[in-house]
Amino acid sequence: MAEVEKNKSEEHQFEEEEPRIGVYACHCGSNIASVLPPAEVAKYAEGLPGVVVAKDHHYMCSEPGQRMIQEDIKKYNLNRVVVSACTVAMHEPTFRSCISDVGLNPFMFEMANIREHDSWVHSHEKEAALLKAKELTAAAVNKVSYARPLDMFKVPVTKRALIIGGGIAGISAALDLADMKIETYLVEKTPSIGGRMAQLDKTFPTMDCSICIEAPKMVDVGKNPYIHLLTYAEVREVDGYIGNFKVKVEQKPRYVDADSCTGCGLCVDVCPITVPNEFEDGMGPRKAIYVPMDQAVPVIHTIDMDACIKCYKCVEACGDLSAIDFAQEPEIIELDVGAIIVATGYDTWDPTPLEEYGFGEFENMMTMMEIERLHCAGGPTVGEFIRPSDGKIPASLALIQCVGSRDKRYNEYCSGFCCMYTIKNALLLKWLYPEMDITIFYIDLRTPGKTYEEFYERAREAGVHFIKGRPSEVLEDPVTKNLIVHAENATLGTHVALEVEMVGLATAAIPSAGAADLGRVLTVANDGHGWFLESHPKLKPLDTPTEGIYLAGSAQGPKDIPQCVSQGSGAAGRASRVLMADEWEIDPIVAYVWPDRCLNAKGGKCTICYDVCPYGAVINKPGSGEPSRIIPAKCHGCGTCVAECPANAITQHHFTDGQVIAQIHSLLADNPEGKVLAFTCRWCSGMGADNAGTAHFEYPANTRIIMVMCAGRVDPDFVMEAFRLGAGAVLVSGCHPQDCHYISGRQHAGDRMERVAKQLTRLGISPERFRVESVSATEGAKWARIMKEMSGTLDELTIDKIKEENALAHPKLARRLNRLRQVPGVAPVLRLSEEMRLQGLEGGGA
Amino acid sequence: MDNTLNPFLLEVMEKPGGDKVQQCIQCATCSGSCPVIEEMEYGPRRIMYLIQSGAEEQVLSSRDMWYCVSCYSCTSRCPREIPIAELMASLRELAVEKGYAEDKESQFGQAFTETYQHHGRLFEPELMLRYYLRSWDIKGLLGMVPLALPMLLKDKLPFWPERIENPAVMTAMRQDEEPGEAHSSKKRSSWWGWLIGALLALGGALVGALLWLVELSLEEEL
Repeated sequence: MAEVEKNKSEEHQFEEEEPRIGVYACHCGSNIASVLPPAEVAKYAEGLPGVVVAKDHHYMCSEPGQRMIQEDIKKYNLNRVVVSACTVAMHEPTFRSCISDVGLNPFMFEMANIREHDSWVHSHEKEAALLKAKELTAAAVNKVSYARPLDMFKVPVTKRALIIGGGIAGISAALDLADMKIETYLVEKTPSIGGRMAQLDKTFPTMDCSICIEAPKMVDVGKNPYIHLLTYAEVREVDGYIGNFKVKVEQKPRYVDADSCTGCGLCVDVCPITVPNEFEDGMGPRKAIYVPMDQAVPVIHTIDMDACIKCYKCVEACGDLSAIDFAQEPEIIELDVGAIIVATGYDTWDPTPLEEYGFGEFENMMTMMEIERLHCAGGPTVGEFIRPSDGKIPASLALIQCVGSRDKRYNEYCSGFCCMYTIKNALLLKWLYPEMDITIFYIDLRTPGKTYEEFYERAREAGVHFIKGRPSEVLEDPVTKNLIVHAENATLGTHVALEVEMVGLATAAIPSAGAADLGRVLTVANDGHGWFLESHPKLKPLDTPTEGIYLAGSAQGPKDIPQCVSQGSGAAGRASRVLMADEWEIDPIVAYVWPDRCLNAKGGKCTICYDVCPYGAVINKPGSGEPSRIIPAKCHGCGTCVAECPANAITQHHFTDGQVIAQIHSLLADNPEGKVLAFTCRWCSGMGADNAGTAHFEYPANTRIIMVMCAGRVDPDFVMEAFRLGAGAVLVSGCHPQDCHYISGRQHAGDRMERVAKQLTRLGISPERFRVESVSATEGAKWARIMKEMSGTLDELTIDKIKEENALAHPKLARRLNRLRQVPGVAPVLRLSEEMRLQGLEGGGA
Repeated sequence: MDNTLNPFLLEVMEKPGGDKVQQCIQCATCSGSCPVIEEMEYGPRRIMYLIQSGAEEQVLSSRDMWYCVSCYSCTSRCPREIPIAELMASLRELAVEKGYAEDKESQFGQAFTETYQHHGRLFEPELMLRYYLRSWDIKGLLGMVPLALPMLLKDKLPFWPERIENPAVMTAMRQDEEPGEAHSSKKRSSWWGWLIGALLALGGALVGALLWLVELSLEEEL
């Protein structure tokens, strides 16, 4: 375990210091200012308790904006800062480093999101949007008032990397890391590295032989002393955190001893079993003992046990080498690494469901990968392009684009590289067989990229026909086995029925099989289509939201070869930042146990915190009289134990009960019955709400968001307190349980909130006023829909009915919540808030 | 978000099947699938584009939606999941509403609806009567007789309507009308229609029978 400096903040007897807060409202050009005047937000903030100075600026994140904050900190002796601008995902790090540059602790900072959560989604309700901005700012001010300085943890870094996936992206990353003398494990699930690129014949637009340019790199990987190849192996478990991952890799049994096998191939010659070769897309044969291709790295044979009949002829053929070992078992290899690069690539979509094209039914209907293998000199026909029904070279060929991509029924995204590889195949065949009549059916031709458009031009010059129009159906002539492609020529508006001897389908690229499972193992989210989700689509395309895990190549979305190579190198660069450092700083937003409050300290036998912790970060000794303790470096800061603790003995730095309750009070100070209060996690739902903003999915402005790290942090008391204050409706939203960034946080939240829902119903709160949802980072539309629905609920129930229900439930809620006052840090918040309310009443009366 | 879309597109988007019109990327699968594309002026793909560009007059005065046979090939194959066949129905409605469609075309639909609402099942002789009487097209009606009579004799057309237990159920399925009110008003108007219809049918049948007999005797003579 990493030795971690004792954190100052753990001494919960901190010096009380009068808050001196600076509030800064951002115009974000016109992004915020066009809907609500930030100057008014600043003016309003000036009147908030603890605020010394409040200003607005066109771009707070710009150099002058940041300088303004820094100068004010010095001038007004500020000790806390609030910026009302955009999402924390975007600029929280910016402003934290801005204030720490002038000596303020970076955690004495809070952001109110008045862009994604406000101006971008409430452009139709300008008045209400301004009110929301004011309240969000007030909540941030209230929260930051109770902020404590925290120090970053420093953890040591294991100077080794793991790369998952041995395609061209993984190979590029591995070679770059090896050049930096970083020990790298390259895990590949098939028997050889090379990936999709090894299957291709030529590469566009240069028409280089694909395997000829990749094979040298594969060989380099094979012999590089810094790279350890683990082929025919899969990652099963990943534990730990940036700089210190513990990984379990399963080495599947090859039944051939990797060290003794020379790759001579004598065993292959004698093997009597022939099965379709996956590498040839099932078109060529391989034996039960095989290497997938001639250029395989490593050249170690593998026995396919599903096909093997155990005739042991291979053992005989192997002779004195005796490399064949039928007794091999799956083996778990444990690795310690500091960073992980995910480069799992893509698969091609199986077009069988698209019945109108008859794939699988018509012999001469092929996928583009099959066509690729058919004209490849290393392919099953040694480069002879023949059609399956009669072995003749087809005189005519139709290539159909967007098969299963740009199609809402299957994959709605554009796979990106299909236009280019279709043109490439057409051009290649035109070179090989100038007489062949080739027609490409397309919706839109997309050829962005250096010299790609010129490549398209070459195909036109070579006589390839292009018809704009997605074929509606393909029929087969049962006698000749020719195919008739029906389409509308959209340019002319005429119907086309083109008889060709062979058809190729440019099928969509889909995430490789197992990407979803790997996502769960890594706790890295996959987007709605299954691609790995990057931390920020523009500025952090290679990072995942989990620090220390990076993405390269098609794992993140379909990419062509140059992009994969650049991303491989890029991810290696991102990983090396960590791996070249001696130690790495991690967030101190962890849980902390007040020893005197823990039930175990009083001789109790409580294991709740230990049971719910997904990371094993709790040292729990029930019955020993010793309080539970949390290992900060192991704690990921989800806060599930904090919410679960029956004695309220655990808190989470930066998200203390007091701070969250302060936010609740600020947001519900005015007209609580008319509001929807949403608790979201920071990853899926928080980002989903941001996504709604980015996409400008409008929803009603009577909604308020409180962000915590995980839905698991949402204490039942928070929900109760919201209802006690009269909230119209409350939402708790996290990730989809299987995508939870804290493994099981969302699951525990779900179980807990189910109980809360029952309790609330018993108290007479209408069930539709409390909801628990899962929204992923890409489901902005769903977020907006939920917000609309919940806001609609308030209208349906009417304010009077809500008030009536609240009045009925209030005494019981108040009694239950009395114990909240015992929690350290909560009482002052409540006291202050109640005083303010009384003052407000007096003010109203005067 | 201030909407800068053209009013016709907005109007279509309000209709069943219209909300996804903007999703059309002109891939041409629909027009390629359409079995009656030769009969159409534009075909579904160009209809989509015309709607997107707000060409109300061109769309609603075209004959395309009236030629749509609702085979749903386009709908099932559309990669943007636009319910094109449904949309065609909505366009027919819009064309009638806005006075683009000639009476003849919409009259048939209305006569059809009335007929099935009356019995709960389709009854072809009544449908024809209602259709031609709406436009006082007696000549057209009589023109149908030579077709109808042999069909009647060969038992291809029923003499009597087949009724379902409670035809009001069918009325209730029309959402735009109040079921009760529609029912009572229909009773009064349909009674007169029936009387005239029956008389005319009788007359027509007689004329038709005569013509047929004459034809038969002529054939015999030859």
